[in-house]
Amino acid sequence: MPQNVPLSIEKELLQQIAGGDEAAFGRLFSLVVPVLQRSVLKLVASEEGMQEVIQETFIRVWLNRDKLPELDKPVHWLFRVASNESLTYLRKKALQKRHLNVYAGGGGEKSAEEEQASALMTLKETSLLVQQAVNRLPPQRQLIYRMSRNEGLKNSEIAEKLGVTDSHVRNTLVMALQSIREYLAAAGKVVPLMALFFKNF
Amino acid sequence: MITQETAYTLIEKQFSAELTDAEKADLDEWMLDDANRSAFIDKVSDLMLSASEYQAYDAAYWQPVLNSVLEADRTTAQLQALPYRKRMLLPWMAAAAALLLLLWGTFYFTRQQKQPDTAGIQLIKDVAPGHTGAVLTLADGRTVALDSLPNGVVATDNGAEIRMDGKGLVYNNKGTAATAYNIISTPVGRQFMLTLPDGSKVWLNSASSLRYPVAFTGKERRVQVTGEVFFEVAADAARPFRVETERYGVLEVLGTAFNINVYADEKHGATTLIAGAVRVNSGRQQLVLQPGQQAQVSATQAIQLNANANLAQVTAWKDGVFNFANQPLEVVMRQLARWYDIEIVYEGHVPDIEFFGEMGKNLTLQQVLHVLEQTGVKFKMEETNKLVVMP
Repeated sequence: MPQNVPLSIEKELLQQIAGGDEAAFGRLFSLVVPVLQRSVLKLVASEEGMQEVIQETFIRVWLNRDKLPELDKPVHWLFRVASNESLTYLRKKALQKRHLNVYAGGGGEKSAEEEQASALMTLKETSLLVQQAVNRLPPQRQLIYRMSRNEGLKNSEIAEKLGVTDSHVRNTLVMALQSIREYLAAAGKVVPLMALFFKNF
Repeated sequence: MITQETAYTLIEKQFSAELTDAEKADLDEWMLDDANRSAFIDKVSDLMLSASEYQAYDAAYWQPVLNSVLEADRTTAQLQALPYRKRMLLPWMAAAAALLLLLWGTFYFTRQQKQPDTAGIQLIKDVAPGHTGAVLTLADGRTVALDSLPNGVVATDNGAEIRMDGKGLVYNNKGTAATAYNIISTPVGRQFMLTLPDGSKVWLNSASSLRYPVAFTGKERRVQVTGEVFFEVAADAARPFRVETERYGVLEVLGTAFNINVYADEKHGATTLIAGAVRVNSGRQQLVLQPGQQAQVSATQAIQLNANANLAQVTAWKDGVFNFANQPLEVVMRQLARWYDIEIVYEGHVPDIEFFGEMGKNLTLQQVLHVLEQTGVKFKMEETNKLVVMP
């Protein structure tokens, strides 16, 4: 597959992200967004839509962080995820347009406020589903996940507090992410991203 | 339906020019067919990879998006309120309206930090939120107010030394055989945490109480509760822990963390298990709960199982948050009454509204009502602490 975009992603960065490093994730975000932004904007033809697609794309990336170091071609995978989120957005728009035509007799462009509100809702939906998923984790797994994400503790700090090993904490976090992804998939919010991993490369 | 080839041509065109309405309609139809998802992804990711346009990274523009992404899997969002009204005209319209509220609510709170109120409900006198505090009743009936005591010993009772330690009250047992009972109670507008003589930790919501011995000397550890209390019971297999309630029977605790809500003005008593195991015995029925389950005991001692309790919601109060997810107006108003020490009066019918979202318990009453008003309910403060709710 051709690649013109000036982007390469170091394995080390992906490993840092897999360890839950938010700053490393921020660096990935700032590397990828500049090469993705224009394409997504052209495809979805609205700035709010572009923001929403990029936001949803990176939520997927973040929720798959434990798997990032295994990726052979991380750039290709990322662009497939972005394409998938673009499609989700375009389908949503297409369906809304149909409903507008049915109920309001056509016309009816949405205002900028509604556009922005819709982007917020998408995030809110995803984020609510993620929170429900976290709430359904078994108690110990939930506790460790919250200590990591809410309190920002390092794996070693969690291990010390709970009297377990570092690798137990690491494995628990991976299992927690797996459960969250399964919950989101079951809620129909995302196609399983594993399907995107092995396509064409 | 257009062919994949035509669809690809249209997608390419979309990248360089604008599609006609007819072309858009064709492409929409093609995209809406699930069978075409992977064909779309193949084509679009190819086009994205071969694009050569680069736009410099605008950190200020993207920071909020990045923050939202990282917030998505943190589970204690503060100051987010998303109230919405049931029964709207069309589902998507309801959604759109709710979104605008969310947007407005978020905007309001961001702005709120800097500027005084200029719109919405104006209470004659705003009501400050509740805070930490309780009253301790010793075995001989003496009472100690625990609102703002410095750390240190606050009382001794039948051989037990009772201290404030920064987080709450702690019992240090110097060895006693006597069975003397203490009562800790929270007034309206207060919540409190204490550690029992066996090391069990207990959080009391407002308008609640707990009666317990200064030393657990028997074969069982027995306590009595009213209101809403969260327990983290210290493990001790030799001495089971029993929680007794006035109207909703007994809980036999086989271990660890659970929340019990037996407010007299709620419809039923509810025990929610976070971790460990609990047997609920209503006197008429028994049920062993698994973590994540909730037992609701009715006034007639019938037990109903909710297998998927919303744990975040049940325990939110303990972490200083109102969680209004799927709560009807009356339940929300009762929570506010207990925290802001107000009386709720309904003028006319009780509006049929469900709420959704979280708000910090550190907000003033006016700030909270401001957001709730966005559902269309009206509030009016009468005298000092009577809040009138109008549909």
